[in-house]
Amino acid sequence: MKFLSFPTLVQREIFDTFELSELLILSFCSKKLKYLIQAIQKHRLNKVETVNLDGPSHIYAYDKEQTGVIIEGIHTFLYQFFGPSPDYRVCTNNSQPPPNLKNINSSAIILPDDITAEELENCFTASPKQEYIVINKKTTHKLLPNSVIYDTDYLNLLRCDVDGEDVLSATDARYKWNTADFSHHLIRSSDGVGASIAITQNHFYFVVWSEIENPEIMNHIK
Amino acid sequence: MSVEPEVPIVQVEEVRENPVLYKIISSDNHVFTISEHAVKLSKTLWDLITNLGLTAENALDNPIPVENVNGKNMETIVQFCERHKYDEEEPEYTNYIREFVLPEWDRQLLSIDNEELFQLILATNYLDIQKLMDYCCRVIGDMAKDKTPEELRIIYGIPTDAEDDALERSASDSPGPSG
Repeated sequence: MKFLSFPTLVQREIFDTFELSELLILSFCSKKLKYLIQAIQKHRLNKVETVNLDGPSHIYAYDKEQTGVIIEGIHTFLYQFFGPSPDYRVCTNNSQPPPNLKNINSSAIILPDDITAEELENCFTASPKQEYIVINKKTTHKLLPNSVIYDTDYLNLLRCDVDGEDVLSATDARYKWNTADFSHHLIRSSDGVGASIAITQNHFYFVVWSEIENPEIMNHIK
Repeated sequence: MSVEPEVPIVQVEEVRENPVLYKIISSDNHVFTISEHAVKLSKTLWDLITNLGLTAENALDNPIPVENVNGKNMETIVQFCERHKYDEEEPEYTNYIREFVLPEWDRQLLSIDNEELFQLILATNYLDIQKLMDYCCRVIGDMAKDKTPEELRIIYGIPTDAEDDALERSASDSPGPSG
């Protein structure tokens, strides 16, 4: 069979029977086929909202020392295939540091026990300003004072023994939060800037927000 | 008390047993007869019949030549159309992925080798038979299940990047019509 000899309408109908994941695997066959899929399945690819760079669901044999290069290659391919519109999200478990990749919008990572602050820093240099980062780590850990992680919009540090003052002084980040979690609120009447605080056994949340941009918070407080 | 009107009772099955028949000649001169309900599944053939003004009276005297489809494919197509001529119309699909179950009879009919399937799809496309096209595409799509890119390349006859490059080079090296 010469698939590429089919009329475009037929190719499109055949692609319509494929799941997105199958189209992706098909696109590995050749550049020409990849461009064809992108051209005639644009309407589907444009609907993809999130690309999760997660652990593999299949087992592949590869040189462990080449892990970074392989992950970067896969991410580059995915980025070329799906384009810039989806959110690219890194999710890792605690076996390895997260890969340092470009064009990442958010990260949800569990850090390995032996990672240093510098090594952690190096994981974010390619995508320093992410929308949302969750870091989950058991052991004591201190972020660098000028950490790129502070550039993130929403920062969630779980089980990280960080210095709260360091974080507050270094970051403009907002914390991912739910108004129901907060018991103390302050609103500055002159400019409508509000602040909320919540303290639990393991967490300290401090959020600064705008009264104008967040009417739902005002409703909750009232 | 109501009285039943006296109307002739016509069994639906009787009507089905006496359909209008059309003759089709394939590219290799095989002749096929096909009923009106069945031929309507092919938009191309039905448009042709309508435009030629063929009727129940003159249909069998005016065979329709189909140059682009050989006898083997035409036989499959006629079988398919006769099988599905009374099917209800499919609802428009809204999802990108066409969700339907391929009936076993059709799966058997389409259990042919890749090259034959390729030719059948081209014929189906030419004759514009949407249902058969859906079924053929499903069979082609099902071939990709759980396959590696290397296996897919063989199944679908996809050249590698190196082969594409070599083909492009040889095309650009070859002299044009004037040269």
